[in-house]
Amino acid sequence: MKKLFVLALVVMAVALFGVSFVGAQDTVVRIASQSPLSGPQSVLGIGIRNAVELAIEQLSGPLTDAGITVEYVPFDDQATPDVGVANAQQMVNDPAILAVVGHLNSGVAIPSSEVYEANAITMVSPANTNPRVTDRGLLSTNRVCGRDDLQGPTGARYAAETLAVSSVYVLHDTTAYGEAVANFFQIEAEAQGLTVLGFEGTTEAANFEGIITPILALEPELIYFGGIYSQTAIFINQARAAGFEGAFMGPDGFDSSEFAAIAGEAGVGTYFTSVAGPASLYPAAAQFIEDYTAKFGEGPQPFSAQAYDSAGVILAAMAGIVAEGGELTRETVRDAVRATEGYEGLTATVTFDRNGDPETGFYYVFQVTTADAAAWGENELLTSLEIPSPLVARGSIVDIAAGNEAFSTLVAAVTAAGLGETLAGEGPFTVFAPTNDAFTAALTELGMEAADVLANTELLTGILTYHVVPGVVLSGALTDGMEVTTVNGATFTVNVSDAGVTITDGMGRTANVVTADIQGTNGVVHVIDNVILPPM
Amino acid sequence: MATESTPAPLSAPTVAAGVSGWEAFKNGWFYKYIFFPLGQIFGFILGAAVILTLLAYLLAFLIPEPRENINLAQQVSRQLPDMIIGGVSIGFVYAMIALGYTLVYGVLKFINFAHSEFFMVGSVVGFEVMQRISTSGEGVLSSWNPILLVIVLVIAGMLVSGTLAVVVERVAYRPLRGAPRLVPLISAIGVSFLLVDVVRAFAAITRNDFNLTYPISQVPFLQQRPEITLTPESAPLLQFWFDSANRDEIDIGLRMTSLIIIIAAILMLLILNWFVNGTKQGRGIRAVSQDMATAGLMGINANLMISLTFFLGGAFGGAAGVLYGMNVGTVTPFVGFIPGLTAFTAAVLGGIGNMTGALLGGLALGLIETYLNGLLVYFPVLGQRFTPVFTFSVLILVLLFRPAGILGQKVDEKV
Repeated sequence: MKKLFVLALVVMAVALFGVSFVGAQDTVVRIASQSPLSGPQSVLGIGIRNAVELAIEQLSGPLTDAGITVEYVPFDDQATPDVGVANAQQMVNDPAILAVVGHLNSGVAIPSSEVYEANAITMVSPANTNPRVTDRGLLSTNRVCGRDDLQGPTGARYAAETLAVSSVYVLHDTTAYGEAVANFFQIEAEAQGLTVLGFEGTTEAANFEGIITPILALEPELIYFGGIYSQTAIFINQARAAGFEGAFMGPDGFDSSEFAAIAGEAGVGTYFTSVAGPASLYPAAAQFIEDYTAKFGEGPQPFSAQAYDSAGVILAAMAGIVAEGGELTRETVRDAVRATEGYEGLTATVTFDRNGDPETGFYYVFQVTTADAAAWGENELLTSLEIPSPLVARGSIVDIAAGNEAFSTLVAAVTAAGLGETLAGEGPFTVFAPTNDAFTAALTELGMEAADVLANTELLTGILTYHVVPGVVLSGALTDGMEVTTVNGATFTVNVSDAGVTITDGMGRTANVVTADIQGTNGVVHVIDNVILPPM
Repeated sequence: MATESTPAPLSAPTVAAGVSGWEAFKNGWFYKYIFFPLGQIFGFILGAAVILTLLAYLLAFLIPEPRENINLAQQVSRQLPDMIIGGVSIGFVYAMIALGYTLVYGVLKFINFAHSEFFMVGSVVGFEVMQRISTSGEGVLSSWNPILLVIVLVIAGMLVSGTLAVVVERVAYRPLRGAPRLVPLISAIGVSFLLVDVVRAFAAITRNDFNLTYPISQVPFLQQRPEITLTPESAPLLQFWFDSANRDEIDIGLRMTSLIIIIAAILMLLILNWFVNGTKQGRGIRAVSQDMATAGLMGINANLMISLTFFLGGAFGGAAGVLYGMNVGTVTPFVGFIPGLTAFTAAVLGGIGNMTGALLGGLALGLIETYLNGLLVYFPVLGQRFTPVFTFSVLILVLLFRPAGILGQKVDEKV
């Protein structure tokens, strides 16, 4: 009897085991989000979270049809770098998480993105505007919004040209985001001929009286505060109460209904630039606003529509992989997201450039018209600009060289050697570009005439290809004593010291890197002050 | 810190019987509890303001142009009224918070590090009450008499913070009374974190928002800015000031909320002084602070006096919180940390355990901070970020060279 019982158990176990293989294999993939769900900036963070949830609900169709369940894992990064990194580590440990939408704060995104990059988890950001997010050339960082090195100057130009102020006082909140955008504003303001009366950083969050006193004594016509609404709204409240009557301007950190709730009447008339308009600005977002309000009981916040698009980009990339019969892994998703081209989102048609910036960025200047938080979406849009990403603006490596007089000899040489088409192609390449003076000095050194060299195609090609390295090598990736293999096949040595970067070529001659990291659509250019020669 | 001073100091000198009119006046109620303390307060303000102004002009004399196109002396002259008024207003806030530290130290020889959170709780309570009134109906808040409104808010803050202080003492400090000195200190730090997180959770659950904005916009009275304008015609004696500032007229103004801070603080300080020095309970507190055991022998209920002290300290912190919250407009659960630290520095500066010291320290530090904020802005390398460096350097210097503080009394070292 006992033996029969045991036998029955074994048979059942085997049957169940077998059944588990026979049943339809439903794969589960997860998309995560990181944004501040608690803390002073939670209003924006929750808006991002909700939008991603809605996007996954609405846009997962193609994946669900293929038998793949998409789950959502929101994380709270508390607008704090340490917490963001800790969450990122947690994500790494869950193999089902393939991509993340986030963050809100650039200061949190930058360290977290290092964890994502090391583990091929692709990040699509709806709101991070610090240039460093994408300038590092990582494969897994992308954003659908614009950048601060274009946002700050947009504000400065508006202040100088349209508002016609002559003096500004610049404040920032000492974070990666606030200080950078204030700095970009200041540089452009000076370029526009405005007097910058001061540039101060402050972490003060409550009592600004001591800071306001000297500002008022200097009588600026405009105060620019690079910071987030939770701090800047309190500032403008107290500044107006203390008698400041000039203009007040800030970056997209001002863009939240909380600004009106905190500043009230004092905030009316404030200008702010943004890389993301309110959802009501985009004609394609009308349905989104309805669905969002129906699901969450209140209207979407700024950056919500962008978060919806970020999730949409990821889902579309995944659907593309599945449609071609590919496997959904972190690496395939990362590459597919970066290859996104012409994705029709609510806020824009998204194509990522080589670094993950959208090829065209949108920059807006708004003015606050209301003290009522509920009416924040009705702020007046003063201008809207379309500015290409810096990579696209500079163009290919050939465009960069052709656009600068100092490279005219190089351009002539490249054309004579017939390398122009290659270097304008997909690449990517790293080019160490000698200036005209460098060429002149080298010709004298070699005792040759320019015409002779240009005619000798073999020699010319050999020398030119010695200046080109396949792939993208940014200055940060160069280490002391590194041997770099060029397209020529020969190598040169790099020396990195406090004085800068030096190259020792195949003949033992040296050249200094004068300017580094001029990034273009198909590679990067470093300017050197001497021609380097392969061993001959 | 080796001080052992009593919270006595605002008392007047004793006097023999059968004396002249002046002597009688000096012994009288008006002098002891109104005239003398007011005189002290104005004396401190005047003294500190004069010294700091002279130092500012000295600095302007030594470094006339710290940045291009900045005439330091001119900027000082322009900013002088704002710096003094701002300094006095925040100084009173620091003084009221410092009183909490100093009262508790005087009685228990213990620094209550959770005191900054009593201040924060006060500000949050002030917000909650004002918000409830505001949302109870259309236009209800604006129909209130503004002075009555302020009084109600301050009393609410005082009651809640005072009660909280008593509860905290009972729960977190009394059980540790015999323990080595470090133990209740750690307990206090723990209470501080606990209170911040409790309020954070409360704000997150009820409002899902940390930024608690006082609905001041509905009370026009509080948004006013009384000011007087001096012109060369109205004040010919001050011509040198107009010349130095390079202006045709000088505005001396302050926000109504700042004025309320100053008036409320002075009133409450006078009342506290009367309570501690002129009533039986106050005498009990002073006795316990001098010698707890002997006071017990004299029939004073030490535990009751200690609870009363905590209530007073907490109440003052709460009142400071309400007034500060109304002035800055928006408070968060983290708003207590820096002002609490600065007020602690002020208490040490004036002489910890000494009530007049707390007042002096608070006013002095408030003025120092505002002057620094107003001047450092013009120095290229420094900037306002260095203000806390200087203010806390004051703390270090005081502890190194005069640990008893400015008004502290040196006594034998207690091991």
